[in-house]
Amino acid sequence: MIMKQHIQSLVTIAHHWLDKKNDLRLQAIHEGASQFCLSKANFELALDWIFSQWTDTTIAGFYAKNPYKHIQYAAQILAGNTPAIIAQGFLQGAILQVPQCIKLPSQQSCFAELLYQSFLIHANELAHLFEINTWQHDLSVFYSKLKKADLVIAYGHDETMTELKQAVSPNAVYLAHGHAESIAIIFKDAMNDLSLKNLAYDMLSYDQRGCLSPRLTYIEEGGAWSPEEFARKFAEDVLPTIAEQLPRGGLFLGESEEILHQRIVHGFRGRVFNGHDWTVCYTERHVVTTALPRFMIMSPFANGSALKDYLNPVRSSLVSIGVAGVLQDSELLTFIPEKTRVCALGEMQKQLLFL
Amino acid sequence: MSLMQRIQQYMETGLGDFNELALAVFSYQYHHCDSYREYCNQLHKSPDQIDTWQQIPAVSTDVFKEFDLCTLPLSTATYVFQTSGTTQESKGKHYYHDMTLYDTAIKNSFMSGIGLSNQDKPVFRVLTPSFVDVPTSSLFYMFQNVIEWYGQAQSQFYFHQNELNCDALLEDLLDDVAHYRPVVLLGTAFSFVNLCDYLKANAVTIQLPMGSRLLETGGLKGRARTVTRGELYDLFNHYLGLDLSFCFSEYGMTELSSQCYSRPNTHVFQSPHWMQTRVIDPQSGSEVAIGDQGLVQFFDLANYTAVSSVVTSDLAIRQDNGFELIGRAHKAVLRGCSTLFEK
Repeated sequence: MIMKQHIQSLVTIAHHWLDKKNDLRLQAIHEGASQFCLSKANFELALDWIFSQWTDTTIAGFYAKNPYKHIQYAAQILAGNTPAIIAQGFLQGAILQVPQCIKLPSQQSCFAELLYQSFLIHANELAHLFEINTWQHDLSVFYSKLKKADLVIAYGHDETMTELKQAVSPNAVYLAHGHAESIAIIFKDAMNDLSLKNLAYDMLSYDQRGCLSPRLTYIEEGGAWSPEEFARKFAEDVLPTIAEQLPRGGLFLGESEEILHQRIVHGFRGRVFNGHDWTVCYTERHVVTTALPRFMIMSPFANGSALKDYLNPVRSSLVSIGVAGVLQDSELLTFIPEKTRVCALGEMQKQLLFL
Repeated sequence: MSLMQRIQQYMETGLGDFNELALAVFSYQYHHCDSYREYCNQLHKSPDQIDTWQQIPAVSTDVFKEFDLCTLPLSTATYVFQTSGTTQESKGKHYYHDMTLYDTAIKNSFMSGIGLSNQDKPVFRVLTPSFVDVPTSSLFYMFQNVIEWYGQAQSQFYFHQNELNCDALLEDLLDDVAHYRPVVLLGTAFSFVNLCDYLKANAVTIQLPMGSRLLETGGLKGRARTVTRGELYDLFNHYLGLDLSFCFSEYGMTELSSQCYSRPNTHVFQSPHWMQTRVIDPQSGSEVAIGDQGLVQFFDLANYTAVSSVVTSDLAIRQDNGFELIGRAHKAVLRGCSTLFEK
């Protein structure tokens, strides 16, 4: 009964956040978007995607499969690269149904505080389980709470994950979400306009600031278009229009300088297409990606075996693969780690990672 | 007269038209450096599509780490200068087949850069390794030649086997003081920090003889600590008795063949007339207004056999007829769960 009430409360919260006239939503868009360096249009799209997934069926499923029913006290450390991680933290906190401290990213706390307000309004009994703060100036207090937790969920840099591990009780379950990467694969049977459009949305939403955004796109040879032609169509015919609908947000310190340098370096490696707020590099070299916003690297591949070789160095950190076409190569299928989510292109951001 | 001779004449006399020479250099580099030509073609900027040196495509210093930018066969290069860096990092390389323009740049800027003339014969005390010890360093090449061309016989290097020999340096400096012999100290910013640390530890301060001076170069960020330019110059004043008017700063890099020097009593760098400087907005690529901040970009005529237009990662404030360095552009910070995907 309580669980049903909670599910209903969470669905109500989502419903309010999907309401374009909702004051908290409007305030979050007005004040919170820039904290994530996202444009208002992109932040709005993010809110729509996030909360459209808070359905009773999905949430009930999470409650049913919650493997941490035995815990007494939890701690969550949320990263600030996208609003999705913040929302996810609150949702999983609700499903855990235990008292917990939630450490917010100090520079991106606005959306979290507004979301907490909607918990106070629509799910007061859940809101009272949460202690939210940045503990920016009082880390020792936070660490003492961390020590008490028997479940710790953390997002951030690998270095932060290692550092936190020292502070977590040895008996606690520690779920560290550090380094992660996502890629897109375009198979030759999917060389079409829909793939171009889906890839553009997956790239531009969240300005590639989250780990679910593809940074590298591998394009199979032998299709209706050559991989280079696919890259050209993507950059010249599709991306500019969608980029106009979803303009880039701000840039963090050093990003504009790095974009300039990377465009030049990639111009030597292959071909660069760019608008004022996006870059597409096509190269036949196997290269490293960058952490830059709206910076896509595209490369061709001959077959599943070749692609496997390209992906091998990052296999362990692959969190998501967006696929256009049919992934049926048995070698590739066995190569992709079980924990990696394989989804359709265009759906890469539309996922709720639970615990 | 060959293009190289025309450049040399321009460097020595200032007679000629910079833009005309720059366009000729670009045309030469475009036709003889394949990777650069392909890059320029991609930007639709070939010699016949360009009218001014500012339009010439610039390469990033990062490109030197991955591509051999040279108009001549690499196998016949006589010197290969390399950027510094850890063994894991790839190093930028600059190939030279003829040192004429490089030497011309030094001869026409170094001594005036430290307020002396080419006729002066000072004693140089150098806090870096010699070029003999590190034959891949463009800086040590310059110091070695400066000593040979302009230095008194007792000039020498004090950095051997990965260590600055402060004992020997102090002994010689005290001898210079005793004999009222003006000296010129040359070194990287951090080699001077090491020297000042040593003097502090030994409770020694020196008042170098009148006419002495100092030239520092390189970054202010060391492996273990960072100093500000103000702090550095305070150390020079306190431990060596040299005030700002006798302390000079050099700005150079492996990727370039010419150097900039700070104007007297300021931290504003000025490039020689054969190397034009722009401080650019990284987003638009256009020059920023005086007082605004951007990335430093050069067009160095002496980079004749490489690529002359080079954009650096150094941030500076554009000043009237110069630039003031404010540090390195931050590398884009990897945020949240998204980190660098490295091979």
